[in-house]
Amino acid sequence: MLKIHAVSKTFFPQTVNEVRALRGIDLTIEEGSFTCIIGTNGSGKSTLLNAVAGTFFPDSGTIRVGEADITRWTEYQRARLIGRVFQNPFAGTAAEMTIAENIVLAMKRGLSHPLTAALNKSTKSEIGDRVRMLKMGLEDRLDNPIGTLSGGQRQALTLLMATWLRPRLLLLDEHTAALDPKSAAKIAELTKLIIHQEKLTALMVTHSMQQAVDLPDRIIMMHKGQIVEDFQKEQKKRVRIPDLLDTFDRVQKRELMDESVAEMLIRDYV
Amino acid sequence: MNLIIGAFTIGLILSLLSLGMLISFRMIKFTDITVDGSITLGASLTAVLIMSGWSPWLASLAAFLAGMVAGSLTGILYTRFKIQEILAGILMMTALYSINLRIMGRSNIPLLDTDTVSEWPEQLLFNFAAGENRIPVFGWPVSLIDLSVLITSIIFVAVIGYLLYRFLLTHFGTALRATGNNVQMVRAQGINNNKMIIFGLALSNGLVALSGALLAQYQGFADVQMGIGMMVWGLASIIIGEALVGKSGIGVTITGAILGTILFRLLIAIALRWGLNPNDLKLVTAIFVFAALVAPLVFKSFHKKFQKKSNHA
Amino acid sequence: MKIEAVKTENALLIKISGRLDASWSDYFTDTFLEYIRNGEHYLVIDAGELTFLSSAGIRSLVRISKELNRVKGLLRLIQANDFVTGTLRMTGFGEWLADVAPEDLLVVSDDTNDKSEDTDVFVLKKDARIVVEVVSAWKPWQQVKEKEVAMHEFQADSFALGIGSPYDKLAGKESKYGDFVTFCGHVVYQMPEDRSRPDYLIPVADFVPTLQTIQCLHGRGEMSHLWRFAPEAEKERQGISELASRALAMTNAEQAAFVILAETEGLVGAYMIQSPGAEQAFKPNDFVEMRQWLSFCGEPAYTGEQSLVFGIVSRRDSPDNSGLLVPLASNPGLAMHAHAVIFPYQPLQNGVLDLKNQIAKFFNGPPPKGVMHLLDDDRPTLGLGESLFTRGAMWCAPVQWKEETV
Repeated sequence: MLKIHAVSKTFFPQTVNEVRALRGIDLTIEEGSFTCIIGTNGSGKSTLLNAVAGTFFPDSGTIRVGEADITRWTEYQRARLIGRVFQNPFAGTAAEMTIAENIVLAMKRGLSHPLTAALNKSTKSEIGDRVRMLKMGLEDRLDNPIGTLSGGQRQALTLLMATWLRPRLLLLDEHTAALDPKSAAKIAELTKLIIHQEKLTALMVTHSMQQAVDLPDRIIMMHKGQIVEDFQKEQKKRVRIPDLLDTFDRVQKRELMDESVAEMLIRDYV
Repeated sequence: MNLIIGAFTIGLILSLLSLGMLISFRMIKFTDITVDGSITLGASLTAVLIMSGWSPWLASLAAFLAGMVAGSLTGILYTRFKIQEILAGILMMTALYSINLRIMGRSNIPLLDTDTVSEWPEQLLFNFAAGENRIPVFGWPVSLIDLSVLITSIIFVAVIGYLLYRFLLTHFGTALRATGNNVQMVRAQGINNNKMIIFGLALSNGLVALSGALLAQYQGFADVQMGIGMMVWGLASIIIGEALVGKSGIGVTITGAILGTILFRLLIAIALRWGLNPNDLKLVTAIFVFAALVAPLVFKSFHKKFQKKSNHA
Repeated sequence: MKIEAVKTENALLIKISGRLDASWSDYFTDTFLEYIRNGEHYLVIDAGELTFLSSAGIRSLVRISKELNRVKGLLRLIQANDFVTGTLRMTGFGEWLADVAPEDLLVVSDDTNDKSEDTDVFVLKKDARIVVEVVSAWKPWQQVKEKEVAMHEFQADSFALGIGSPYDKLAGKESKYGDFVTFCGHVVYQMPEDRSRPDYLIPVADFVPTLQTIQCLHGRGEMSHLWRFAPEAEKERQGISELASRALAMTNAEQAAFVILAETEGLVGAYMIQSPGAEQAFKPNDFVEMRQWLSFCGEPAYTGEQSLVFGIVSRRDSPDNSGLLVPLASNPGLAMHAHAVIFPYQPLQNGVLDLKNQIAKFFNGPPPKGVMHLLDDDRPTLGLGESLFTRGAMWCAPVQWKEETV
């Protein structure tokens, strides 16, 4: 479904701050699968997600969703195919607008915005019905500005908005990281529920090992702009948190093997 | 009474400016300085067109369209050429100064003995008053001309305000409002935020230019200097409106901007009557806007300190 | 709850006051386990000011008592009030109660310098030897030759280290040669794969652990000396080079074999993650290639765990029969080869320890966490130095090289 081929991105090239954020990423995501990307800070996991979302264009490589080559599509053009939830719970909704107005925008995600009244009774009752599913009592507050809600509630609404029109691909960028533990757990639960119910194809970046083990059917580990591990299918099923930590450890150990170590080992490892 | 009706009329005319700025400053959150130039643009273009025999209605429409062009150019400078918003506005405003001079051919054009958009209600009133030049309003004799202008302005503002209200509640209008609220979200919903900014600025400056067109017709002249400080006045009006009725809901905000402008004009009229030197007017306005901008911050920090103290206690 | 410990002549006197209930029991348990970890195996609780003891508190005491039983220690409560006494009697733990006044437990001064080091050295069997045979002596970065491959059995008195495989044919990568170490016939082997945990072979009944080795130093015999070491000052650590040089000193030999069983401060070493094979005469040219071959710890590893190390140390000037002993950077007078296996922490009993029992205890407990070839990382500034240990035991014996292999 999603095919990322040889995607590279260097930020601030040829300066002191040069960051080779993505180094030739190849990744294919199957239709209907839920994949989780984990990795250390600066490993490029969020950059990869942003490359798919179209926040920037890659220096090289191609990104395809289904048959469409979206490599040069702008962010808002891709919104037709892609639903997104951000790490910042305030990023996915417009604070000064009401819950209903926010959702109305999501109902037209990637479509044209005609000059017809956005909200009428039937739209509102449709919105109310789906918001009720969140079990947060928000259906009675549809005309309140979304800024009056908690981070968890806003993130739940963002998730609902991202999936209101069935996206070909759902991108979740550490969407529970900025929440308190209880809200985070609730959002994780909700994420799983929605993805399973709607049989969505999803790509999630997370810091939480627990989520990486619990939620997806595939775990990808990134380090220094490369994919270093890929736990799929049967292998994914037996992965537990210590295994992930071990893998991190190994990857970092490998990193510490530099010229001087190699020299020392060639001399001393007999 | 004349004073009040005058202030009312100017207030109504300038409330179109406030509505325009409501779109740029409040909806798409764009600090747009083009306003100072586009109000003059509207005035000068209308003056020239009316002088050359256009109907005042067509001239006003042309002013509106010209304002839209100016606004979208500012938007393009900002979105396409990545020029900071203030600088983009300043560039446009400066360019407009010369353009306005070009349009008029000199620094001001008087509009004496020409038709205005208030011609038709004036006729109507004239018939109604059976040939009298003045009719009593609450016991005060009021000039028919002034009254007709007032009525025209009321109709204008009411129609435009209502259209704006309906527009902002459409899908497109909702997207426009969201653009100023959260760009990241807007893009994620597949909306071209740059287009929205350009359109918002176009609409905003269109309304501002229209306001200029009506102002020129009311005052009876267009002057290349008339736009100076208009942005600050508009801002002051918006702030007063928000203080007056709050900002819960689109309708309320629009009404607030209109009422705010009228009140602001009344205050100015009263202040001038009490002997405020007209030369100091802009300074006073600037101080007022400054106070209005800073007050919430001061209140907040004061509130915090107070809370801290009470927490410690 | 307040816990204050005072060291006495032969026990640790711990005064506790307050309530020992569910909210304090974890803290209480952790504090006491730390005492045991620090080598205090006789714990006397002055319960004079203990006002309440709940079931959770009793569970804590049971846990501590169990831990003490494993190291042949003792737990006693003195001066307990009627409530605590009653509770303990009722639950069948009356044996913990003792009738001693705390004054009777002589308080020892802080001056611990009078404690002679030599009291920790035990001579087990004066003329014991470890007879070492060089079974095979392949060195990394060379092609494995047929004659270097040997099937080798490890008996109950075998200590060995090297590179080998539990599989029985030489078939390139598939033969899976990896680092191994053997204690009393118990073999631990690190599969040459980045991901896997060590595997181990234990002699049970008639089963004799057997490996196909390409590099193997095999010693047989008994240990002559035992040294129990513990930090006398805060932060005192034993480097492996100090331990090795002490093994030479105790046995008064030119070459010695030693087994260290100790709590780890940090191990420095590496292990193979790719098996050498016949068709792979390969010397890594740079560190990128090296990454395919060896996993280096990168930082001192396995802190707080229990390491079991077998090594052979030689004075630099005495002949090295195997070519497998590497000069130590931390002590240039010595050359050594040592492999370690790491187990989860378990406390060790004080005093004389029987090596065979300890080996059996650890190999029958929780599985080992890793096998490592220990290294002395002497890189300037970046070097991690050598492996360090905090407290534990070292058995050692003089090495006698088996004639025919010389």
